[in-house]
Amino acid sequence: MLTLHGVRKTFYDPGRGPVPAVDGITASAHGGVVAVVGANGAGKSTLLRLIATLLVPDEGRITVAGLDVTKDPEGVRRHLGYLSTTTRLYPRLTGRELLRHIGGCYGLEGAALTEALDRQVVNFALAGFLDQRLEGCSTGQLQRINLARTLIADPPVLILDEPTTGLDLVASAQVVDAVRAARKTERLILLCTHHLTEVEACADRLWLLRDGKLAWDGAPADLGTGAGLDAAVRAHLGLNSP
Amino acid sequence: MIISAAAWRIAKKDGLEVLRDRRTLFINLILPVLLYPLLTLFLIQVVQLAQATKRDPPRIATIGVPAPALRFLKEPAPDEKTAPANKSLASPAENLPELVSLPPEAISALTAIAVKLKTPTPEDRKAALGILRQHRLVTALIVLNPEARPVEVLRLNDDAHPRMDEAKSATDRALESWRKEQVKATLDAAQVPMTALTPIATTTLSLAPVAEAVRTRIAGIIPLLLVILATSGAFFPAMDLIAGERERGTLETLLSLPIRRRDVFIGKLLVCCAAALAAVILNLLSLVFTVGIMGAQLAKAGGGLDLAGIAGVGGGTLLLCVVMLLPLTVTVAALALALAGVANSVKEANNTLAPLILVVTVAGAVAAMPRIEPNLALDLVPITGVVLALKESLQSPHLPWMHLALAGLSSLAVAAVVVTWATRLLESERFRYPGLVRAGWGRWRKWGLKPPVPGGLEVLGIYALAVAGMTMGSGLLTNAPAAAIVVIPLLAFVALPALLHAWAGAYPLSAIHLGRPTARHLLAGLALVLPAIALSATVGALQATVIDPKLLEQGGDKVMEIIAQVRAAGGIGLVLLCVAVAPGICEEILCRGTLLAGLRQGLGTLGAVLISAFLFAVLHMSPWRFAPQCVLGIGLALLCLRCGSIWPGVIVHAGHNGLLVLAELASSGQVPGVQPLVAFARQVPPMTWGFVVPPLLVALAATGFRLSRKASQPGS
Ligand SMILES: Nc1ncnc2c1ncn2[C@@H]1O[C@H](COP(=O)(O)OP(=O)(O)OP(=O)(O)O)[C@@H](O)[C@H]1O
Ligand SMILES: [Mg+2]
Repeated sequence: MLTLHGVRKTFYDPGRGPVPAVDGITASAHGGVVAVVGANGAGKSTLLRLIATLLVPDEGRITVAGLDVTKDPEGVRRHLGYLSTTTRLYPRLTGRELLRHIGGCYGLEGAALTEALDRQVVNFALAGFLDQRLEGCSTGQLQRINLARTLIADPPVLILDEPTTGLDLVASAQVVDAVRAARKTERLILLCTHHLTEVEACADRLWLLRDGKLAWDGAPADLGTGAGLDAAVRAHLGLNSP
Repeated sequence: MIISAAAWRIAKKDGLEVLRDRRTLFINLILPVLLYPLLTLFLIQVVQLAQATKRDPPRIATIGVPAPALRFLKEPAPDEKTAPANKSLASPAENLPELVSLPPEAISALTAIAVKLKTPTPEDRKAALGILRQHRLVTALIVLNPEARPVEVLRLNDDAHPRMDEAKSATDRALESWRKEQVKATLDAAQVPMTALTPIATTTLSLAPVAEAVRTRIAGIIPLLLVILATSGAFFPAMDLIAGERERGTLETLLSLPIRRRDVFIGKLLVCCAAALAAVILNLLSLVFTVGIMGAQLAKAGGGLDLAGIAGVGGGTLLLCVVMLLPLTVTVAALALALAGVANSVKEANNTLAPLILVVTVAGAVAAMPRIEPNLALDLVPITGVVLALKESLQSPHLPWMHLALAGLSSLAVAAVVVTWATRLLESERFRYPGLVRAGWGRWRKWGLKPPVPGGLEVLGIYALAVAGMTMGSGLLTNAPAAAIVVIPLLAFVALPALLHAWAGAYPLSAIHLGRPTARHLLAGLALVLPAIALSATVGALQATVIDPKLLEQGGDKVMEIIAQVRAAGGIGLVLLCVAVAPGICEEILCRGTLLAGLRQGLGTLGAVLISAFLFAVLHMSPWRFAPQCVLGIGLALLCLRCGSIWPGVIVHAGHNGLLVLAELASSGQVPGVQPLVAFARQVPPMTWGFVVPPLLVALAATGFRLSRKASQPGS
């Protein structure tokens, strides 16, 4: 489903000089939920943007569903739903207009589009505010619509970059439930998060990123549970306070 | 261009959003409609207010002016009282000046200066002006000796005074009436009738309806207004649609959807153009409507002015305006989208777009100036050409088809280039995340891979520099020797900027096609000289069958004159150096080196070949040579790409120029040693030439093509 081979991306910052945000990552994943965890600035968002074809790798090869991100970016995006803290929604549209527009962009039309829309309305309980302009919706409602639009075309790869940021406990739990509901064997979900409880709740696999490198790759249970997992992750990420 | 379903989908969504944006609605729909009614109302108000306020009459002092003249200053002559006051808004009674009596010391000071009328010193002038200003006078009239014939009247004017014009016309009128009275008295004494002084009486009849005359006056402004409206109409959607998306955080959402980036751009471009066109069309309708209503009102009021006819320019002309403005609108919209796209926020976009609206306004305003008429060169200038052609269409009873077509084609070409360039922008990471790479440019780049080839915008800048230098710089050299006039601009403005740019940008010489050629390629260049001459001669001949050469020929004699001067200074060798070798090298470096390489980055190979050839032809600034140079430019560009080097093209170019000039000189018997050759050629029957020359040319061309085939395929 997803393969990464020697992927590198370096930014230049006038203050700091070259910043190797993703520094030679090789990995592959085929299905289930992969949690991507790392400290701030570890390169998680950059890695996910590279996979979503929003950035172009300096070196290395990325394929999604067998398609190369640099050779066929549209094809890759057709297999992708991408949600991050920086993907917001058009405030002057209503939820229904937005979902129909995005479904259309994925090639859904007519009855198929209506059916997909209805399914998301039920899944995320959108009926109450579907015909309201998005500028009037709350953060939680917006995030539900945002999740619904990533899933509307039922893409095989789902990229969720910190989907629970800014949400209260109830809304966060709803998002985790949604991720669990979206989990299928033939679907890969990349979930970037800072909350290990979310990792334990839904992840099949864990990627730990440190300074742009893949520091650990395996099942979260192998590292431990609860406080044990927390300590192990801290150790791998070099976050132990002196 | 094919607009895909995805582009329409983006356009639909963006259109919906724009329609829900109050600011855009106001600028694009409401303002264009209300512009003329509001303007008219405002003008009427201002005029009424101006008429309502009583202005103080200009103050004039008189010293020693005889009573009859004073009388005319106080009241106009009887025959002027009845004349209609159509020249100025104020009636003549209000124009009467206020006569001021000065205190004795001022009178004596002014008189003292008046005595020195022939030799007043600067101090005297200053003193007199001081007195005028002290008593708030505009003019002082001084007569030293009323008995002298002719009576000498001295007028001291404060020309900087705002009421100067009124004071001048008042004194002019009074003095003229006084003069007439004196003349009449003299004639009466001699018993000669007054008509003896006016043996010719002229009567003028204005034939054109007032409406048409007014239309001619305003014809310059309307296209300018339309261009500005089209521009500002495209601006707000452009800002909203990319910078606004970035600001609202929706750009990343949009770019993560499975839509090609060029479709995203085209969708947005469609919305911008639709918004701008809506502004233009609504504005035109509003103009027709307002003028119609005004005309009806005036006709009802019985003012005798039939303004209704102004609107009668006909739907055809209005449609013409819209059609001509279409490519321009697309260009401006694409530019605005691109410029707004590199901005982080709507506010920043405002700043990047402000220069664009300035450029558009200036380019349009130049054309709107009176007395500027379209010509073949101006037609090609992007905005100016269109405005000029439209102005001409609105003014003259006949449509200027040639100018319309040329300006239209030129703006279409510009639109195609700009749209092609702009649609590729969203593909660049830098455009998606501005500020991503801030490591500097060229030689001064601090980090990262240097771009191996210059960008399209960069090289267009270098080209603009060359054109500006060639037009302005040659004016500085008028006194230099003829050879310098030809060679120095080429070196300084054509070759040097291109080479400096390559140095500063740290581009390898091979990137701008300056690498070492192989011997095969140089031979190919040699073989292609004659076919190139045949090609450009054929195009020239074809052109002559379509367009009258006299229409296009400008300054052809001047070129031959300069060549003659160069020849006088240094013989045939210097001539060849100036008109063949120097242009060959310099123009190839710019047009096939920098331009072709850079444009290929932004526009692809086909676009780069065509546009570089077009710009190469424009560089020569000769309408007559335009088409041949364009075709030659295409050939040279293809040869350069094929050989990966400009040097074979330099040989073709220099050979082409050199042989043509030699032929020109030989035909007037100025080249020693060719006379026998010419004589021999004349003896051979033309049919024989017909059998020999074409196969020879074909063979040469084929040899050239074979030789130029590149052994290794070009890299990037
Ligand atoms: N557009 C950019 N321009 C310059 N540098 C960037 C850019 N985007 C990211 N970086 C740098 O790359 C590094 C990795 O950033 P990234 O956003 O991938 O981290 P992250 O793991 O997602 O962090 P966080 O947990 O804070 O979201 C950081 O040092 C960041 O400053
Ligand atoms: Mg991040």
